[in-house]
Amino acid sequence: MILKIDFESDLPIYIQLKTQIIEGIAAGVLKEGDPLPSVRQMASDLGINLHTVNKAYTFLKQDGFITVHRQKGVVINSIHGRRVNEDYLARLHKDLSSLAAEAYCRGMNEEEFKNICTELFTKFKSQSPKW
Amino acid sequence: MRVLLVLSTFFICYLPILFYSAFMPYLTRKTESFGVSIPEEIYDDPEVQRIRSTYRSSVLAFGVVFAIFSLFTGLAAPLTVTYIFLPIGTLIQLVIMAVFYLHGHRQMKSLKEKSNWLSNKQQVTMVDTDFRKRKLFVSPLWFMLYVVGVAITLGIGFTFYENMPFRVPMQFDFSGEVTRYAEKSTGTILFAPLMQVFITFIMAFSYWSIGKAKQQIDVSHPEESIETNRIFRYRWSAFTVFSGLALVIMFGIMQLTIVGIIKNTLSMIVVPLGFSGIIVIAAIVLSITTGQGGSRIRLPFSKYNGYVNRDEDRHWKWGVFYFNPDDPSIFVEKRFGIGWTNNFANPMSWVFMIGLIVLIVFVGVVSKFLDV
Repeated sequence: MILKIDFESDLPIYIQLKTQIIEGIAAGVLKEGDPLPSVRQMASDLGINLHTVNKAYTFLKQDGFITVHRQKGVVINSIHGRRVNEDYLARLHKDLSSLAAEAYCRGMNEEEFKNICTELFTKFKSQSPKW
Repeated sequence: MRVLLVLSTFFICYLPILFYSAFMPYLTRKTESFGVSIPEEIYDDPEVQRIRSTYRSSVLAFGVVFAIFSLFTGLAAPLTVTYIFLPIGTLIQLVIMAVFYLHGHRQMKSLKEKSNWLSNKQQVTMVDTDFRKRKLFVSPLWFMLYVVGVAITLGIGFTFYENMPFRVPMQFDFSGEVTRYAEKSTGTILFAPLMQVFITFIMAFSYWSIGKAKQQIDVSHPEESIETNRIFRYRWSAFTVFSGLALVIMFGIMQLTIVGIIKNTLSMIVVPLGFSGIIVIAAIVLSITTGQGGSRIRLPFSKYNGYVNRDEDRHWKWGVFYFNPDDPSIFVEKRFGIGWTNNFANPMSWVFMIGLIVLIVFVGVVSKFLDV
């Protein structure tokens, strides 16, 4: 998978890394058992500090998307590593709340907002059907 | 045989340096002109083209005049002068090429400042998470042949040691006349294997660094860039392995001369010249067909996507020396040249460089100790 980092973006680099890897998993580009570059390799190829990559990987690890093996390196987890839990629900609620708030303020109706969600889910389902 | 000396310097040093320098702006990545990063399509900008062609013409004009001058000096001057002049001439040539380069670099830099090439473009960096799973280099098993080569050379030495002449020819002038003999000893037959081991270390290190070097994708057409860069690494790893093997074989042949199986001592001159010639030609062919980073490899090309590589000019002193403390990379692609250079902000770069110097000094000391 090709990751793209925008250094002028308001989003911190580690967030960009994290979201793109998650999107890669959703899109089926990254599959269970696929290796990712080591922290050092990824940092060197991007020309960024080791800590930045480390931070992204730590978050992904905590959320159950990847496992860091001593020998096998960094590997994408199976879906069983990352069920919906309370923590996640709370975070989802918070993130959606700001997205919905803006949509509401712009005068978007509920249907339109839901349609976009459905569209995205359909897309992910077709790209990585086993989940 | 002064003619051989002068002509070989001419063909192995002067001309390759001249053409390598003159045509380098056409061999670099299109995203880097005279060490200054530019959007890929700006490579064809008339002003940028003019800077390139002016540079090429001036380098060629100077180089040809200098080469002819050197040729006549080499042939006509007293032999002692020729011996000193040829290496110094090569050095002078390199310095003057650097001056021409710096002029081009300044021109590009000020042109970039004047133009706003980057203004409406998004600067990004891309990495392929599968890059290092691709076939980036030839099999490391080739290095087994190096070991075989050293073993055979040692074998030749010990097998023929007894029948070796008491005086061993060690140094020659260009007519193949022996200028220095060494007394026969175990050291004399260990010299060639020592050099082979040295070559093995150097080549193994280069091979390793080719795989290790930073992944650099041209973001305006990432897929092609990944593939051309893979081919670039693969070809140069093959070059590294095979040119090293050629040198190992060369020292094997030298061993045959030392133990007296090859009687014609002219081989001590002709063989190294022949091998260096072949290696230089191979490097030139590879540079022209592949280009820096694989830039001259043509693949079916998708359209530019509007992204541009992150501008890192401030980390490149004169567009030549890379110093970026935030980049953990050790080896990065040269901007003006073929191959890789170091991130001098990484302490490991200095460790490797000092290691290399120590290795060279060590080999020098050991060969003295071998009394050759």
